[in-house]
Amino acid sequence: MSAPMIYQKITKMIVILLIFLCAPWLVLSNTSEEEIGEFFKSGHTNNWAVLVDTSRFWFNYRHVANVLSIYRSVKRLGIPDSHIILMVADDMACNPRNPRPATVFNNANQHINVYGDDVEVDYRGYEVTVENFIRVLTGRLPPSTPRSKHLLSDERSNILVYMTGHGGDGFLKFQDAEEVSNVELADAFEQMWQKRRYHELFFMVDTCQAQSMFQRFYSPNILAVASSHVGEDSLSHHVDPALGVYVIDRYTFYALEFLEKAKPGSKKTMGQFLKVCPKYQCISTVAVRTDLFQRDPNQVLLTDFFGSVRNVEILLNTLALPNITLTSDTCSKSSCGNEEVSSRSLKYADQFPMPV
Amino acid sequence: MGLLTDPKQRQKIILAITKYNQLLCVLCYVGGFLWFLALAYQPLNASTYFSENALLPGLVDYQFYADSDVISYNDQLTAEMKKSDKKVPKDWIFRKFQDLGLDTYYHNFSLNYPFGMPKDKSIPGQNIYAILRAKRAASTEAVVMSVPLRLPSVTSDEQTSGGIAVMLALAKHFRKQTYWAKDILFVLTEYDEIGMQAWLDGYHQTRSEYIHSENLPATSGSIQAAINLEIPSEKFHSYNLKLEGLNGQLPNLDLSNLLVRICGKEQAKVTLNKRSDAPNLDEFEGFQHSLITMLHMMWNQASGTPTGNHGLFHRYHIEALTLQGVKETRTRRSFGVENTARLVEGVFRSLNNLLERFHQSFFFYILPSTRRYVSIGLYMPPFGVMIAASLIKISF
Repeated sequence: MSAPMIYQKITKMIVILLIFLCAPWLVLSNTSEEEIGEFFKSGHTNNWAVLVDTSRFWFNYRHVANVLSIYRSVKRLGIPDSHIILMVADDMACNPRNPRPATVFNNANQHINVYGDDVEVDYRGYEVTVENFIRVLTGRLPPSTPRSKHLLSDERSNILVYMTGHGGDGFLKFQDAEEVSNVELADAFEQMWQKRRYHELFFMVDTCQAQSMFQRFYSPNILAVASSHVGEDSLSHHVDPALGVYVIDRYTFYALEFLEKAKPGSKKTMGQFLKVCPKYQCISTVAVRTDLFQRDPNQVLLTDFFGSVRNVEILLNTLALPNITLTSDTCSKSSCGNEEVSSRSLKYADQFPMPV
Repeated sequence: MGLLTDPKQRQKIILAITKYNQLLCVLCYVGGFLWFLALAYQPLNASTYFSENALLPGLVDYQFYADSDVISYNDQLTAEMKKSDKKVPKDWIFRKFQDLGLDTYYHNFSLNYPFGMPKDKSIPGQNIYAILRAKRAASTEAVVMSVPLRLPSVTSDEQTSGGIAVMLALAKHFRKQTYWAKDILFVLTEYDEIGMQAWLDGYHQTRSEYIHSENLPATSGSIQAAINLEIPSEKFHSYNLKLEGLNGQLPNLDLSNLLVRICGKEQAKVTLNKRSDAPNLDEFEGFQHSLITMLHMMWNQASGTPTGNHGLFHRYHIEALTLQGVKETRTRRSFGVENTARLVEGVFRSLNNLLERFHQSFFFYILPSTRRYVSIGLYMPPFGVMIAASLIKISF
């Protein structure tokens, strides 16, 4: 062989070797695009919340305070009123026995009025019945019902269902004269699944013997937590001696403590939330059901259920997107040059700036 | 064949009962009687508890700080009562209630006393009552605070003018609050139970045989509970609870428990029939003490007369009891009208939380002490055994 041919072969081999060595670098330069792909793995596009308080009468003040506190947290983390169905069975704020009219407090310090000026109760007083609750969940409401009373979820909605009141083994008492059984609730959730009304559902219940309420679930993608096991009572947390009533329940109190530390961009996981309120704090044992849920709760963000976080990540580097529409006529190198990257630090703005 | 359907077995039983008839009767009677007495022994009876969840007794802090008000009313009233020995200062009391801004009324009634002289003349009487309307509620329900008006010449144990001072001071305090869900009726009755019956007749528009009362000029809703106060104007040492009503009827046990709990919160000594709880209930001494308390209560019930004005409310299904201030000779921590005002405020705050009439707890019970009770389920069986003695006697 002649010398130039050997030289050509060697250069070819060197180029091939170099390509093999540089390939990993080429792949790694695509990581930022992969990161974008990561954020759509949770699979949901919108969030709904159904918050129900089922007891009436002045001595059940704490149940109203429970549900209103969760309502405040959920609103603070981003779910708008149009996506929250709030059912409150009695009007504590305007009860003649309330020494502080037009307020509902969840703490003996009376710092936060969870009732406030902007609470939007969708089902109030005697409208909170088992029939209305099941109709809201399954969507079988008469067409004349106002839009704010519908649960307009679709197959990519994550729904938070929170229920509080008086319960027993296998049932939850509504108002004073009726009850919803765990079988009925499980069937309602199955109807929702069949009609593709949820993507994932988080069921939270704070009553006595709460575990019984989720024992009969059989639809997929449900994560459930209850404040007590069957045979245990859930206890209230403390009395406000100025009002003369118990103002909040233990499980909800510690759950709120956890939620208050979360911000809309929080990276806290559902796994951490499920561990809230160990036995020495709650006195009852918190029960959890994860077998119907397909993801690992430790990988699920808290805001997947409690907030309404749009999947936005602020990148500091620019991405070269393929230029498919612009032709060389309209854009020359001088006019469509790369913008300078601003070097100020960017942070996520609070969607609902709340007073501390 | 069964024990009673088999004729041979039946004959055997009948023969046995006939043979030992006397013995069985005596045994049943004595056994039943002893069983009944044994019920005062602590392990055999039950501890009191609250059945009505809505009461939330003692949970709210007291807000009555106007001790000076009640003491000044007390002093003023004592001075008024000194002016005349034969008359109760009704006009003064009426004016005081009116000055507070409450709807105050006189209620006239007359009594035809059937046994005394003169037979055809009727004795006139006059009650005073004031209504405090609840600001944010619809006046569908009410609670009553009542005091019997007694002449200034009665002995110091029978005096009730401290109660009137408490009533005035509490009326002044309650009027400023917005958290009342029921109207409060302040009632002052002349001639004790007679005036009370006349007032109740006027309120519910019923008739009594010997008492003629006019219809009340103004009423409120249905009465849920009534507290009668017999508090003297001087300092006293314990609160006596009087429960027994007309024909032995009793108020709901929850009301008694409420008073005991609120008195405990105020660290006041509370007694039943002027006997406090024995400290050693499971020993023989304690048992004896409880037994005598229990028998006192039964004695009062057996007499059929109410022990206080509260006894007349029971016929209208209104739970009522009397709180009496009792002086004792042994020096103890003493209480005055200011303590009573706080106590009664606590009771009324708790009664305010009620949504329905008292219906959860027992109506038939006897109390060996303030914190133990014997329910009808416990005292009926020994009574049944005693009756069985007479049944055996008459049937065999």
